[in-house]
Amino acid sequence: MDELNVRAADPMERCDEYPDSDFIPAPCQQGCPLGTDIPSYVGLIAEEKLEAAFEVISESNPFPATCGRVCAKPCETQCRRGESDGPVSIRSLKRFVTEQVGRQHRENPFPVTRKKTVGIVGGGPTGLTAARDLAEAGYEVHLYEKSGRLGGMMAAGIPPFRLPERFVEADIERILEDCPGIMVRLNCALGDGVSLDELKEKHDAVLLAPGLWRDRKLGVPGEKEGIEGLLGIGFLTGLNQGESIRLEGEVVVVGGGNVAMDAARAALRAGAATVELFCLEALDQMPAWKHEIEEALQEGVRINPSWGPKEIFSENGKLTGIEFVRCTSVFDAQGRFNPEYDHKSVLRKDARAVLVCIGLELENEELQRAGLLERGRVKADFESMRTADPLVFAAGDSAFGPSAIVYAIHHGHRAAHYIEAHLEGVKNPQPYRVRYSSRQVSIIQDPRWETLAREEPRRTLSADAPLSDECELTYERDVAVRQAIRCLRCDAETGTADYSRRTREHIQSMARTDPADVERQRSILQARLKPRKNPFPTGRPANLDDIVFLPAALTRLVIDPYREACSTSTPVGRSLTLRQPFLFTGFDDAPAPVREALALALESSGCAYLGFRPLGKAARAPWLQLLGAPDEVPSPEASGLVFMMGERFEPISPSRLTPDRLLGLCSTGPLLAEVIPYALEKGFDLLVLDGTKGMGRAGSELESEPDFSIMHEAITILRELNREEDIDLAYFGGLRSGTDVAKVLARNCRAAVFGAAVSIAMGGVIAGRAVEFPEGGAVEVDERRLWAENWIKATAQETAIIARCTGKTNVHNLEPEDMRSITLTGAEAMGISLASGCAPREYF
Amino acid sequence: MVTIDLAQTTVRKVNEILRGFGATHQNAEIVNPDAKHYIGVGLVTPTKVIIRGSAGYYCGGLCDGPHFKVDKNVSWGVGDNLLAGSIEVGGNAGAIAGVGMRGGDIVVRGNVGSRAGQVMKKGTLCCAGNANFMAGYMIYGGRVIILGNSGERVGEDMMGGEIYVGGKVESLGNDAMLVEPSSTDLDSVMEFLDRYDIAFQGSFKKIVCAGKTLRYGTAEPRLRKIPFTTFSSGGAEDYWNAKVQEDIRVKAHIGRYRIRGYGTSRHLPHFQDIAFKADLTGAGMDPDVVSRVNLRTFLGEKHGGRSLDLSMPVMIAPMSYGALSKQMKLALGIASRMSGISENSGEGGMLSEERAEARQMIAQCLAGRLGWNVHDVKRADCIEIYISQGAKPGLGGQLMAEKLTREIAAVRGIPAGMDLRSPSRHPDILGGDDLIMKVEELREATGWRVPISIKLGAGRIRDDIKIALKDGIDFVELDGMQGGTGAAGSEVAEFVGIPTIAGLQEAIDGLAEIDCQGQLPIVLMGGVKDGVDAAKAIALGATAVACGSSMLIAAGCIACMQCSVGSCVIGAATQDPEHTARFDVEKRALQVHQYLEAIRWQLASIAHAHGYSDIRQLSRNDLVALTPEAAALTRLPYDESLAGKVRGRI
Repeated sequence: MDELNVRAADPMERCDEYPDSDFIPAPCQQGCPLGTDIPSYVGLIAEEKLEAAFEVISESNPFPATCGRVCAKPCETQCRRGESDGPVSIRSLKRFVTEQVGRQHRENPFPVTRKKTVGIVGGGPTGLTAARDLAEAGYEVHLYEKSGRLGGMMAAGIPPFRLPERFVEADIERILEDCPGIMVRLNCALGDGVSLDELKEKHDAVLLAPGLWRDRKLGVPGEKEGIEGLLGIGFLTGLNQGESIRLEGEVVVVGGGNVAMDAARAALRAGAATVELFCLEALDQMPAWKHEIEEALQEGVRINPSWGPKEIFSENGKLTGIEFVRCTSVFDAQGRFNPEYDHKSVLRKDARAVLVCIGLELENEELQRAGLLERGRVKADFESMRTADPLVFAAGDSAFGPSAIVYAIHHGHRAAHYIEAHLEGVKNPQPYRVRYSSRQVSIIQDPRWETLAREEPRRTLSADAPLSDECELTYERDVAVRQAIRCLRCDAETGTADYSRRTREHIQSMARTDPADVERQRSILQARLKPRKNPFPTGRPANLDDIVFLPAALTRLVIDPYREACSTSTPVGRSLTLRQPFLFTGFDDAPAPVREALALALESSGCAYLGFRPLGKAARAPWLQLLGAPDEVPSPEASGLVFMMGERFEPISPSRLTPDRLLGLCSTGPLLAEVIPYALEKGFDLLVLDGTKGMGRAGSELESEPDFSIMHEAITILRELNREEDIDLAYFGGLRSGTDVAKVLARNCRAAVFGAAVSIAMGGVIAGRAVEFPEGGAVEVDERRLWAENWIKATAQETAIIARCTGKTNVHNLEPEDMRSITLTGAEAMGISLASGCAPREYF
Repeated sequence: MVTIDLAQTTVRKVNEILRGFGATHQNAEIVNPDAKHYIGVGLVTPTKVIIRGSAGYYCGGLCDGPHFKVDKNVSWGVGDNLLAGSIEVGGNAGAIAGVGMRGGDIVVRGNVGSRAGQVMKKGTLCCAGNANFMAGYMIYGGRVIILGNSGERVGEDMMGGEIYVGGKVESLGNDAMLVEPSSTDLDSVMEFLDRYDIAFQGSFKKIVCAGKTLRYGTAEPRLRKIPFTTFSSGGAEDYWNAKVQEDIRVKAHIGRYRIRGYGTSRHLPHFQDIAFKADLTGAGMDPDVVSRVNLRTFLGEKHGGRSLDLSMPVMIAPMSYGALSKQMKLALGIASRMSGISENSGEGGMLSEERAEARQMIAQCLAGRLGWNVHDVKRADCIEIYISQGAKPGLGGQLMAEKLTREIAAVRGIPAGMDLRSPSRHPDILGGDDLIMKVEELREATGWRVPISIKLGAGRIRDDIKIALKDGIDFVELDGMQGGTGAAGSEVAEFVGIPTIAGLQEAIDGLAEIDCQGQLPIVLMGGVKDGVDAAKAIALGATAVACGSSMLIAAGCIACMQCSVGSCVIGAATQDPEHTARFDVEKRALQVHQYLEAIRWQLASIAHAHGYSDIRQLSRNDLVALTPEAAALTRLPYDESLAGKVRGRI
């Protein structure tokens, strides 16, 4: 099987399939032919949620324990951290999880719910995966296995020091327990125990996945059946079946793939004095994985690249040696296998055994007779997994050539997809697509993540060890967690909508695409041409965030001193001067220690409180008394009185106890037309514009989107009366930051009123429409006071810095002309021009 | 000694002659200087130049090595950025004498104007008379000697260096303090005075930086990311979202505004809200599309300089060595050469290794003059005067102490280990009229050889661009509020400036209002991510685009937005060797190059699909707006039917 066959289809194209238009699988996930949600399980390991991690792994992979040990790990090749200090050790992490929780993990069994049945030939990874998928879909599946056990080459061909049999068994056991609808017939080969016709008769579909089992021949002189010491795959399968095969003396392995590496290492363990491996390919062309080659070298295997076998020598039916000829090139200019030799360069090796590991073939007369074979493979179409026979499907190595387990599993999923469509009578099924999903696991906050290095699992590379001793160990828990923390979490959304995860992946795809790969360039371009959903749909309420400030540059001078110096001193009405343009409200029902902390913070920060009652008896910050009902009595302690308008406008007869006492009104939008002329007439100092549905009520800021248009309405009315300067405005509702304050000030207000924001700063937690203080008395008053002071200081800095950006050294010099709106709604509600409106300017 | 009569020739000619004399070790006497500006600008040889009279602006500016004697007075900016050599002024000096000097001696025998020695880093500035206000303003190092009175607010916001006052200290500036001078200090000062035959009998007071505001207080808690999933835009539930709460809690913890990297994070009207009218599903079918469309772009020939020669209308946006690691800068330099475009030094000096890698290098001139020097000016292919940027317009650059290592500080000529906040305004560009003087000084320093551009954050751009046009700028680099940065106050990054598409529209409108359409090339930046955005920008009227953040992403940046912290996981935005070790220059350079080539392919494919053979044939007529906002901001026709659909699949 060509691995390109299962190269992930272009992820650019696939985004359509997901409801979240920003979804794009993480690179590792794209690398995995099963689409395993790797970032999620790695994230879960970082949080030590191993059970959940196992569920993620086993969802797409029926053989987690097996793959945890011997997977080709195409995911790690794609890992973005691989571009800097080594990929996340995904396979080893998977191994860790399966070791910890794999054995005991069980799903609820899937019952048989359908009438139709499927016959599958071959109990290897392809057959078992297809069986599991079909059984999960409710079909009864009959699995016909030639040998006496399931697992195919996983069980038979991989030596125990790399994959102890019990792990394959555990994976298979789980599949069979989860899927009682799978009926297994062992020792039942196609053409021996059962015929193809029988299968077709008994079942509604047949899947051929018998695998490859017969050694390919070297095709050199001297190669004969029955020479003692001339071995092939039987050496490995024999060992795995517990046969005691002993080797001695010099052993030669022919072949450059992973099986050859396994055979060489197994040969050392089986008693060989020396093992020399010869292969056609140059060292960097060998098909074996790099780490397999390295491990073989470390164990003492000697590798001789670029040699092709020439002749086998034997005496009296016993192997004595082998001759090689120098191979100068393996592939021709078209990339076809067409080795060239330098016949002058010949090497003769004496050997007691030669292990031929140059590949396997399919041998099945039954299929030959049925006309389903072509050039030693079951002829099948990868896009439908069908053979020439409409009832017969084929998958795995026997159809598409030798490959790694994870691709065999992919084949199983793929075949099950088309078989299911066939069983349901779907004529033109949707093409099989690897299923990607993301559980959006949160990211653990561990500051070490940037510098933690990749740690390889401990290896015990010793050819002297017994065959059953694993050559690699599982991570310790702390190592596994460290390794999981290293994950860059390419699956997680970024902090910026402008460079969202999807955009970032697109840019990185561009950076990883060969400029000459026109097909890929085209698909990236199409993905990039796609417009986004309008982030400002019609009907969306106006938002303070739609307002931006115009910075100083050339026409408006940039402010010189570079520190944050900018005046925030705020005179309000006749008698009050605040150090910051902030008033605070909404703490009348807060716990006493919270009120006390706020009182202290307001005093030290030079701000005032606006409430029905003072923050405390000893509170020294100015208190503006809110008066809601006509019968409420003005307090002599209050620095000012603010009368709240109810739902209707009602005249108030205010009286000042002292001539410098400040008088104010608080009003919502609908009443402004009446309230403003009245307030001006009566000489009120302050008008609090309430952008919520009623400032007096607790949590009014949390119950609805604030109405910012009230500021624009108020100033419009004042302007019509030509009395803009005659009353100070303050705004309440939905203010979160110093920038919000800057907007309020620029929109002609004198001060901003905070409620919810400072409660959050003081440890409050939003619970429905209220802010609660769960720590209660557990937090010292002084600590909470510090939070409030810090927040006020930071927020004032924000206001000041915004003013400075616009070229102002006093926050009260901010004006509407310093602002622009980026949306039409914002422009209308706030009375602010669009960022690039069409009104032309005069020549200057 | 040769005598040159300035009444008979131009300053430009005289400066050419002086450079020639310098090469042959000849000295010169200039008569009839008539207080002309830029006399002796850009000399890098130890020539002696005697000026018989008074000189104007920037006398001896941007020099390394020469010795000037001016008989009478000089106007402002004498010895601007002096690296070595000396300037003796017989009379008085105007404002900002010795501005940004990095070595050598400047002696003024009379009085000096305000802000003497502003942002100086090294060398000695001596005034035998009185100083005006804010002498030693924002100095990072070096020595200011004032024999007379100090003037008001002496040493304002100084960050290093020392100021000696022989007369009265009228008032101390912010973060400045008086200390007792040591005998070594005084011996050294007296030795200096002796060298220049200046008699002084009194005693000195020494002023140094008090160091109270060099560092921010509490560090921000380290968080891996600030997810954007919701903004305060979709109703009451979203209003107080997790991000809003996080900001509030962090501020309650640290007691100051938050700082982060990157540009505006929330949604803004942007290029994605604009589409091409044409069906582009077949774009790029021609396998050789790149050779079918002319993309080559020349920038900056307007005033006779040698223009930048870009293989496509794309540049790398200015990003400093400091904000970025040396490795990342090298990768950018290499990629810019491989793709035939320009690289930019950003703030903080030109990295020699990068200069060597990049074929075309722009030197950025900023207010703090950090790392700024005549040699980099001379080896640059273009000078860019930074006025403001999209991410933090109206403010100066920021570099947190974690990234201001000794090496970076040495390049910049400043003390290491402070939270560096660069000045927001140039000492010598207070407005449009000063700008023109600065441009001329730079033209003199470079022998009128290279283009001079200006970088503007998008704000009041409709008017700013008219000033730029009139001040003899070759092209404008316009940065919308989506433009990224290594560190900015998060609220400023989020809410100051206007969106990139709005900025471009304002600039184009501004030029149209004075009937100068197309007379000032505009390089647009601020969230340009690919060839699609670039093609739209060009269709809207930009001459070229520049990419910054996306270059870093191409090199593996994961957009965690914690650039200011200095522990970048990919080693791009850090100075810590433990972190930069993870950065593979060659691999990353290739990625950036491939990214640029993908942009090239996209530009060509889009133009070709329209039937154009030159990218400049794209025009507004090829575009529609997909949202009411984009339509209102750009005046493109609004076509709702195209929104949410891929063109061509309708």
